[in-house]
Amino acid sequence: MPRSSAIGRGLALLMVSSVLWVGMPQLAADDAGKMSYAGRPLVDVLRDFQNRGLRILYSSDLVRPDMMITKTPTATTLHLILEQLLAPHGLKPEIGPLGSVLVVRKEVAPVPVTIIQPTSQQAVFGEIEIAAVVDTEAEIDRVEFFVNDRLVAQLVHPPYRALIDVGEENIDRVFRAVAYGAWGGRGFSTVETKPVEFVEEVEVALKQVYVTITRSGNPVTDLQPEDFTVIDNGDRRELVTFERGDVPLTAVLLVDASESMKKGYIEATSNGSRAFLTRMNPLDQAMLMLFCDRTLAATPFSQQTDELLRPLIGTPYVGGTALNDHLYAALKVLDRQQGRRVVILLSDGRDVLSTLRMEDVLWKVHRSDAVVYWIRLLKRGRGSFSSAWRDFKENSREQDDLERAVKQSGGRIVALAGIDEIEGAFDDIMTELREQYVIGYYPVDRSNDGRWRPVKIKVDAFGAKVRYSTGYIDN
Amino acid sequence: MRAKAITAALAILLLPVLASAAQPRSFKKKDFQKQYRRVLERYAEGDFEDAVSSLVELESAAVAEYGVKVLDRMLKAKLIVLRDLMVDGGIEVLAPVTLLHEDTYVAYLDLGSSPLARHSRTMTADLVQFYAKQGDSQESQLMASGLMASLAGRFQEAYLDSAAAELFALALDVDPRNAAALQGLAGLYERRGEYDRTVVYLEQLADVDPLNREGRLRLAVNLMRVDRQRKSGETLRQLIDEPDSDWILSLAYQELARILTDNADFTSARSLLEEAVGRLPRDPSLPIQLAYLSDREESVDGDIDLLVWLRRSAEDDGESPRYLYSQIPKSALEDLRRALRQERQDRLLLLAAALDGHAHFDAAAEAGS
Repeated sequence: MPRSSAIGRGLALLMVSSVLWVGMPQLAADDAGKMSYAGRPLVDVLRDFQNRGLRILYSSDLVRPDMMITKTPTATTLHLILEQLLAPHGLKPEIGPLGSVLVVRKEVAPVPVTIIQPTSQQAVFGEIEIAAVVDTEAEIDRVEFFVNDRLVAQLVHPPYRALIDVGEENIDRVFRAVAYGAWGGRGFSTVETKPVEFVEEVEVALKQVYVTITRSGNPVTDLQPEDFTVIDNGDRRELVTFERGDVPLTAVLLVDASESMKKGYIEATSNGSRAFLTRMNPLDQAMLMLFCDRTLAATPFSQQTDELLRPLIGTPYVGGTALNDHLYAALKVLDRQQGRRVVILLSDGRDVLSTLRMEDVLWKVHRSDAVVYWIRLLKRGRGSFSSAWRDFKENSREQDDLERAVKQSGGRIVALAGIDEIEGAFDDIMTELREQYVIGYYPVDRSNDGRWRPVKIKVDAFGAKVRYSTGYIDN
Repeated sequence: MRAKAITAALAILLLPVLASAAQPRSFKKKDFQKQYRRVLERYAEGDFEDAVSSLVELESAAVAEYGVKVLDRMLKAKLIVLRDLMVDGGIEVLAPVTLLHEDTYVAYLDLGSSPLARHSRTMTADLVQFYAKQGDSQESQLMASGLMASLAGRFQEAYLDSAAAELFALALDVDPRNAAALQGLAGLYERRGEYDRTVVYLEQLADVDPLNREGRLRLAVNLMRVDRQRKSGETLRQLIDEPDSDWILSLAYQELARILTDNADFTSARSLLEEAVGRLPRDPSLPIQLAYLSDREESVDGDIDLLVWLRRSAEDDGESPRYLYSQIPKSALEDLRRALRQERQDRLLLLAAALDGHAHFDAAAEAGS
């Protein structure tokens, strides 16, 4: 085509389109802007425009009667309104001959979506978390997750994470995420997981260990898998999974409200708990258990801060303390929960009235992967006391066992000088949990003999302090 | 003759008081004694609460006016009144007066008045021991033992363990079958972790008062601590087989299940705890013990949703059985105090008569002067 005629055609198009699009806002302002679109077939709306004098040309192959408008456009000019009406159906408006508007197929950019969990290395069973990221600034309509072509979750807001149950079968699984753009376009991501291979019926379970690493009291967050060495029962093991920070957590806030607690304590606890709960991620959850010598309140697991803290309002300090029973109960209810499990105990640690001994709780700690933090409300020693249930010596042993349980779970004791430090203690624990490494490996030669298997983790980081659960019972 | 002996004994009791220093302001002894006698009259008439509050008022006013140094003179004034009453009414008038002063001691404790509580405590202890020494009938001895145990119980409640132990022991010297003293001493030794001695007293209590469920429960718990599991188990089983549905039943179940679990007899422990939950569906501890048992059994079928149970038990606001056990044992003491109040009735008549006789004497003396 000669250059002059190309320019001439361009000018003609410009003139037509300006006439068309300048004329159209009149229609948009007067009529189109007042129209209701959502829920109507696309073809009806286009006919309305045609009836108002707009020359819209389309093929019935492209604009089918079953195409429904799901969203009312947000645009104010007719051109953009048309674009938004057509885009979800993979169509767009284009200037046609003699001032007409042609409806043509739109080339839509795919939506970039990637499954980040599970990974193809992972063997998956039971309830698991599935997660995907969508790397675009464009508006996303929804993300659907499929497992072996079965729709298992549909999410309309980020983060695109969901807990799903994939069953206990040891089979291949195909995880597929489909992301839909709000104005058309979609993308896929697929992950295939393999079954665990059994050799002579030996059960292999992934062992997860939560590792907290600090240097001079500050978290060390830049370590890589190769910086870790895991020794399980004397055998060095390869890391199979390696994560940090964002692994969802399930927490029990276990609050001692016995007579021995000081005035102002519940208020400080409420503030501290709120600080902790408001920093939870969308997939985290918690429950509050309030106790004296009996259970005063136990909420369901939830993410709703106000609902969780409601039992603290107007709580009286009553009765004695059944700490062992309730620490055990916290570990027990966590057995039924998924993800990283945490107990945060607030107490002076003076159990008097439990049915269970602390050695029973220690037994449970060794069989649980929950981490126990103890916000201890007495800084100056433990004191010595006796009761009808235990003498001085036994009470002292109980407190030793409690300290042992906390340390062996991989948690720590946060000793406070006063109740004004409670809020900070909660905040520190949440920070620590967010910076924690979660490493997984397969132990060898497990014999289910109920014996203690020590775990040792070495980290290649100079001057770092490493804290983790120091072993587990083999059963 | 008898009146003279009482006077002499009271003089011995009064010696340290008589030796006390003079007060800076003049304590109006006669007025005080007159009002004290009115208090005793009210008590003799059966206005027990009114008598206690009047005595508190009288003594508090004296201390407010003259300071705490008046306490010795006040004691002396009261003892002289009592001596005069005993001359007419005999030693038995002292029994109801002792109860009056014990109640007054409790009132001072409630009011948080330390000097007057100490004063009242000392006076009651002195009176009860004087009564025990002077009362020579078997009935008096039983009454004296009861009064001592009752007061010892008050000391125990105020955590004056040494004084309580001493007085309980004195009560047992006078009456070796005093159930409250046996239970009190057992409670004191149990809290100190002296389980062998605890068992000795509780076994005696079981002989003396075989229907005392609390005593038998405590015996079972302590038998376990001294490695007498079989006998402990038998005692717990007996308690379970009785029809009562109380905190003692809950603990009997818990402790017997504990023995079975420790012996790895999980099947029997489970059936026992399931029976317990059936009889005591709102008990706070049984579900936790049952959950622990499921863990020990590695039982999936028998596992319970503990959170559901905890939320249910949180709806109850009663005190837990283990909390009630940890309190000072009171069942025998409460029985004793009820018995003492009944025994007081006859002696109140003696007190009233003695007071009446003195009123005539006082009136005659006033008329003569």
